[in-house]
Amino acid sequence: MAPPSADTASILSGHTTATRTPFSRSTNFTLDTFSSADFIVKDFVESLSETATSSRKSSQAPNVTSTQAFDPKPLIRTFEQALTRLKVLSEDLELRENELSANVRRVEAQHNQNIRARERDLEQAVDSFNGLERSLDGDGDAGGNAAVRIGERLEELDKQRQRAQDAKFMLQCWIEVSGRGDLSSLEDVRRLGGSDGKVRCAYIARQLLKISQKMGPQTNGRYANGVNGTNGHSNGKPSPRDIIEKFLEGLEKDLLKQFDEFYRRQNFDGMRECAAALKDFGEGASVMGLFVNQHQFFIDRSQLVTEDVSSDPEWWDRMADPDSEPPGVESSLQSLIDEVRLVAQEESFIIKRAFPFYEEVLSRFLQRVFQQSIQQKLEMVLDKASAISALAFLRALQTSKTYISSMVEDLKTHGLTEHPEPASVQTAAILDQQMDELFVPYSIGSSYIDREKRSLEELYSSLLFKYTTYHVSRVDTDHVLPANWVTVAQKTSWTNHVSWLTPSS
Amino acid sequence: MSSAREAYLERLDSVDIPSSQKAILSRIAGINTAAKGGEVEVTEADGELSLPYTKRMLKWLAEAVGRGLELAGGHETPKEVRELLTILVSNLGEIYLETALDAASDTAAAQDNSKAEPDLSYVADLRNDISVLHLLLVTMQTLLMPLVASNLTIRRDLEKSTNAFVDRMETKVDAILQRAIDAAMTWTAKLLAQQKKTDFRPKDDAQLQLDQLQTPTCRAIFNFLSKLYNSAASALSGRVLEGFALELGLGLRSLLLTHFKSFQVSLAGGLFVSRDMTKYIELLKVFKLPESFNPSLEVLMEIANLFVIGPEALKDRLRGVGSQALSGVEKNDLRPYILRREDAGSVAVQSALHSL
Repeated sequence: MAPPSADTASILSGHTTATRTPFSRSTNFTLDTFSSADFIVKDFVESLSETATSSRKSSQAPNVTSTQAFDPKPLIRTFEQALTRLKVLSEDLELRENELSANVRRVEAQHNQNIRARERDLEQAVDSFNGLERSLDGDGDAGGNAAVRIGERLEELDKQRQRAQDAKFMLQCWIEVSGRGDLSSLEDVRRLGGSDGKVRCAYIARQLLKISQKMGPQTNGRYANGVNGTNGHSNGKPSPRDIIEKFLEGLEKDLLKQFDEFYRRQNFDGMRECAAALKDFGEGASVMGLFVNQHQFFIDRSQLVTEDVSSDPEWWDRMADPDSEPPGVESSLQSLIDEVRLVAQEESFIIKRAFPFYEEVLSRFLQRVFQQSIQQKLEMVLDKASAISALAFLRALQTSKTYISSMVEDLKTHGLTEHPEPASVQTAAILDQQMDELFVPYSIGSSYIDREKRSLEELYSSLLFKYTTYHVSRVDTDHVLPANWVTVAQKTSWTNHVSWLTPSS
Repeated sequence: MSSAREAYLERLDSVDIPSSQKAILSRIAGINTAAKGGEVEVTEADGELSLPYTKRMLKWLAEAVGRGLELAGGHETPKEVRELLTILVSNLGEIYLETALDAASDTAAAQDNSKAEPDLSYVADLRNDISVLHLLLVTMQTLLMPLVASNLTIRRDLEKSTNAFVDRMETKVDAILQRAIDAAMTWTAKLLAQQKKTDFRPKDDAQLQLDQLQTPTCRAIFNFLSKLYNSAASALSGRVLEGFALELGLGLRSLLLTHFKSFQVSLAGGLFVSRDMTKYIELLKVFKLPESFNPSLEVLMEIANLFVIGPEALKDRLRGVGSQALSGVEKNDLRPYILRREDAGSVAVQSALHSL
C-alpha cells in the first residue's frame, strides 16, 4: 500500500477518525497513520509486534521461567487483526476514490455544456452585430437614416439645451446688470473659465449689449427716471449698456494682454486660443493690429526705413547719365526689400500657427509692410532721384519696381502661409494689388509718359544744341535761300516749344 | 536768330531743373555753363551728322521704350510708343536729319552757277545722312512698329506718317543727287569746251611723242568724275548708286557724242581721240553700269576708230565688216564724225560717205 499524498490524507483523516473502531491497542491505527510524514514501515511493524509481546509478558508474569518457549500466537493474532483492519481501510479508500471521480466527471460535463452555451450566445451576438452593421451601411436605408436622424436630433437637442442654458444665464446676467448694475456672474465666468470661458463670456456680453441696445431708451430711461432717454448717466448710475461695454472692453484688453504674453513666450497654441476669442471683437481687428503693429519687424526696421537714401554721388551720376547703364536698385531700398522678403517668410510661419484666421492676418501684415515701410522708403528714393534729374527719377522708378516685383514673385513662389505650396489666390491677389497701389501715383493718367517725353526731349535738345545752333547761324548768314531759313527756324522754335513749355508736372 | 540758343540756355538756368541735371545736360550739349551768357562756339564739325550721336539718341529711346513696357504693364504701350516715336521722328528725323539734308541741298544749289570746279563733297556726306535714315528706319520697323501692332488705328496712323516721312527724306536725297548730277554735267561740259582745237591736230610728230597719253581735258574729266563716283559709291549703294551712275554715264555719253563732232582730227590726232575715248570708256566701266549699257561703250570706241582707220577700212567698217558695233546705229548719224576727218575731202572717204 502506497503512502497517501498529503491531500488525500487530510480528506480521509476526519473520515477515518469517525469510523475508527476500538480495537486493541495493537490495531489502533487509521489512515492518518499512513499519511503521516514520519511513517516508516519497519517502525509500524515493530510497534505491532511490541504490543503483542508485552501483552504476552504481562499475562505470564507470575510464572517466570527463563527457558519458556517462544509463543508466536499473540503475534500471529495481532498481525491478523492488523491485516483485517488494513483491508477494511483499503476498501473504504477505494470507495471514496470512486465517489470523487464520479463527481469530477459530472462537473466536467456541466462545464462543457456551459462553454457550448456561451459559444452559441457569442455567435448570436456577432450575427446580430453584423446585421446591424449591414443595415447601417448600405442597403439598410431605414437604419442608416434613422441613426443619422438620431444624431442630428441629439445635436439639435444639445444645441437647444446649450441655448437654453445660455439664455438662462444671459437673462440672469441681464437681470443683474439692469437691476443691480453689476455683472458679477459674468465676471466669474471670465475669471474662472479659462480661455474657453472668455470666448463664451464675450459671446454673452455681446448678446447683452444687443439687448441693451434694443431696450435702449426704456431701460436707460428707467434709470433716468423717465425724464430723458439720451443717456443713463443722468442720475449718476451707469446704464447697463455702459457697463456691458466697459466689461467687453476689459475682456478684450485681457485677451490682448494674454495674447501678447503668449507671443513673447512664443506659445503658439496660446496665441491661437486668444486670437480665436478675439476674432469676435471687431472681426479680430484689435489682435491683428496688436500683432502687426507691435511686430518686431516694425520695431527693428523703423530705423532701416528712415535711414538716409544713399548719397554716393558717383552712383547718382551714373543714374543720371543717359550714356551709362543704370546702376541698379538704390541700396537702402534694396536692403529693406531683402529684409521684407525674409521677414514675410518667417512671420508667415508664426501667423499660420498663431491665428486660426491666418490669411486675414497675413494680408493685414502685407498691407502694412507695403503701405508703410516700402512706400515710405520708395518715396524717399524717388524724391532724391527727382532732385537729381528727370532721367534718374525714371530709372529709379524702373529699378525699384523691378526689384520689388521680383520680391513679390519670390513671396508668391515661397507660398508664405501655404509654404511649401505656392501662395493662395487671395494672397497673390493682395500682393499684386499692393504692388500696383505702390506705383499708381507714378503712372496715373499720362504722368509717366509725360515725364519720359520731357526727359527725352531735354536730352535730345541738349545733344542737338550745337548742331541746331550751327545750322541756325548758317542759314542766318546765308541769304541764298530764305525759304529754308524759315524751315529751320520754325523747327527750332517748335522744338523749344515742345521741350520747354510742357507743363512740368 | 540766336533766340533758340538763348531759350535753351535760359531753360538751363531756370530753377525747376535740378543743378545735377543741368550739369548733365550741359555736358551732353558740350557747353560750358560756367561762362555765363558767354558765346557758344560752334564749328563746322558741330553741324555735321554724327553716327555716334544718332546711336546715342536711339539708345536713349530704346531705354525709354523698355522702361515704358515694364512700368506701364503693356495696355498703354501703343499710345506711349506713338508719343516716343513722334519725339524720335521730330528730333532725329526732322531736326537732325532733315536739317542736314536741307543744308546739303543748299550747298548743292549754291554751286549751280559756280565758275570754279563744283565742290561735290556733299555727295560723300550723304553717306552719314543715309546711315542715319537707315538706322531710324530700322529702329522704327523692328523696335517700335511691333509694339503698336495691337492697336490697329495707331499702327495705320504711324505707318502712314512714317512712310510719308521716309518718302520726304528720300525725295530730298534724290533731289540732292540730281543737283550733283546736273552740276557734274555742267562742269564736264565746261571742261570739254576747254578742249583745244589743236589737241586732235598736232602740229608736228615731235609734240605727239612728248605729250602724255591723254589730252588734259580728258584727264581733268576723268579725275573729276572718278572722284564724284567714288564719293557717291561711298555714300550710296544698291539701286540708288546704280541710278546715280547711270545718270552720270548717260550724261557723259551724250556729251562725248556731241564733243567729237566738233573737232577736226588729223591722222595723228585720231590716235589722241582713240586714247581719250579709251580713257572715257575706262571711266564708264568704273561706274559699273548695267549690261544694257555695254553696246554704248562699243559704239563710243567705234566712233573713235572712225578717226583712226584708213579710208578703205572705213568703207568696210561702215558696211559692218570687222565690227558689228555700228550696225545698230543710223548711218547718217556717223556722217558728222567722218566729215571731221582731215581727209574727209579725199576721194576714198567721199566714196565711203556715198555708200551711207
